[in-house]
Amino acid sequence: MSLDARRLDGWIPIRIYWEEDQPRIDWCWVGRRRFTEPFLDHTIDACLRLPFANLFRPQTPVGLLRQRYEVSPGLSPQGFIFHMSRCGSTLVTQMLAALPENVVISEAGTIDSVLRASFRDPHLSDEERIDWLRWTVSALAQSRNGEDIRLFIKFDSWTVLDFPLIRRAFPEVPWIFLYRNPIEVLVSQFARRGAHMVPGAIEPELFGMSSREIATMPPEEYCARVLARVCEAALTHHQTCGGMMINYEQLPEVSWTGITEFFGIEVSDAQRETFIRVAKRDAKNPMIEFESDSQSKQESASEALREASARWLLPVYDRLQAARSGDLAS
Amino acid sequence: MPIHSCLKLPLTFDPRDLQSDLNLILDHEWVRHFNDRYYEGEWSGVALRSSEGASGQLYSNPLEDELPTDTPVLGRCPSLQRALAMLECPVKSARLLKLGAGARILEHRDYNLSLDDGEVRLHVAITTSPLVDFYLNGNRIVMNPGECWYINANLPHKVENRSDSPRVHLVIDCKVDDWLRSLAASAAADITSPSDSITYEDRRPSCPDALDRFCSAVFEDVALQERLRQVADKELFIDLVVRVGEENGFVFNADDVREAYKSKRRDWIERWV
Repeated sequence: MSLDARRLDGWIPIRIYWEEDQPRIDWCWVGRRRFTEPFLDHTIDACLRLPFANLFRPQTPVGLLRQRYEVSPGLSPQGFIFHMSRCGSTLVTQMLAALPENVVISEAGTIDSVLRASFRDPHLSDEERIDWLRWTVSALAQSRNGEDIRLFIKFDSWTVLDFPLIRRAFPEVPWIFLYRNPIEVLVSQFARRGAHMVPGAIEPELFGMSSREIATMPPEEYCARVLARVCEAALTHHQTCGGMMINYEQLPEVSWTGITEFFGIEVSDAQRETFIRVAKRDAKNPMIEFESDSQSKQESASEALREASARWLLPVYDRLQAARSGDLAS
Repeated sequence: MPIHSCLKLPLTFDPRDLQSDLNLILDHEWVRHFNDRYYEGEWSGVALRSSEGASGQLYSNPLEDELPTDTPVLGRCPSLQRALAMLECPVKSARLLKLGAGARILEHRDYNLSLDDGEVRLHVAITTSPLVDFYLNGNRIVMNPGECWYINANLPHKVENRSDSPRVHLVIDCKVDDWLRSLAASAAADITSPSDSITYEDRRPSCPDALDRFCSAVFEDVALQERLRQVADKELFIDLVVRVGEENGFVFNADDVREAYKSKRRDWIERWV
């Protein structure tokens, strides 16, 4: 199919898939719609309800992403959000997305597919993945209405393990890592698990484990070890690349007292009011009022979860806390 | 879901009363239909309710939202007034249309006139004959005097009056509201004879390749994209894709579109599988 990169205004790459070992891109019409849903996939779901968007999806080689990048590079990222999962990261992105000048890309499946493409094709070099990542971000990060000028990206929780590659693709972009008391994260994940909490759903090698190993591993241990790897990675890169550590307990105030400043944004009084309004809603379900559920989560933890948390996660949690105090002290 | 191309609604009118009103209309009040490229012989009409309230105004802009006004002709026709009063939905225009003996209307489509468009055209037969052939999408529909029909005028239709007397219908364009929807639903549920409703049958040949080629053509044509984005209802959209494809030289049928639609949906839903 011939499709001109210049005609891609209003189209975004929603999926990478493999056809006869060749990577291809599935494009979706989003028009001028802002990404205000908690996750980009939700925005895409909403766009696909238009029959045109579902049926007319150009499916092209990856090369078109490059052409698109060359014709229209899009906005440059102004802040990256990494996180432990279930720790308030969606609340932060929802606040940022509430301001019309911000484009927030939240847990885009295409970005995750690019980063994990090396599992699909072991011959893929880091340089190729870096190119794909830049092109994908560029295609997602187009200004859609002229008013949007700043770009923020929240990655999937496990993406922090690919931090060095992201850093090479986008040096200098300020980043934060959100974390939370591990027992609360585990309780939340056990109530409804994310992809990285389902053994095998994400390649176990990414977490330094083997398929054989995870087959017999108790789920509490698997989840705790995956979360520990995520936190360890954040700590390691924090030492060399100076991100900002944020504990769930600092939310929501830290959004307008710390994060925005760290990302280099000035917040007007009116914008702070907007943040406060967003903070009152439950980020993933705006119909429900947000309230901290730390206490109930602490109380409902099973013995096995407590043990796994103490063994695998509490030490790294303490180090995260110490790193954060170090930030504050410096 | 089949789209009903037409439905006999559970509303009946006394044809003799309506016929007696026809005698109150003067010969010169019948004006020739404006669309003279589409008919042969006599095709004329009188407006009963129109946006400007003039008896000679046969055409009301279907997109216009102003309230219509009764014309002087309706003022002197009590049975037609009673007939219109039976409609509880908003009536945008009402006309009497007369197809002279031996006259015919060539096959054509009207646009934005179906239950899914929010505005429909209803026909009440007043004088007719078994020698009137009304074809909708290739199927002959018999509308007897006093019966009220919903006709999906988006589908191709044509009429030929082979009898030796004029055929007159009361043709009403109205907004679809809950009342009309429930009337249509009960008509659809109540179908006893096949001629009461013929579902839309696509006679185009299957050709998924032509649909693929049409999709590629659409990606290169921003105006076509814009046109195809206007429809939010899936079934109407499928119909539109078939039609626009054909206009651009790509012939495929609605099932081809339905299959492709399902497969694209699946690609997205099963993206992690």
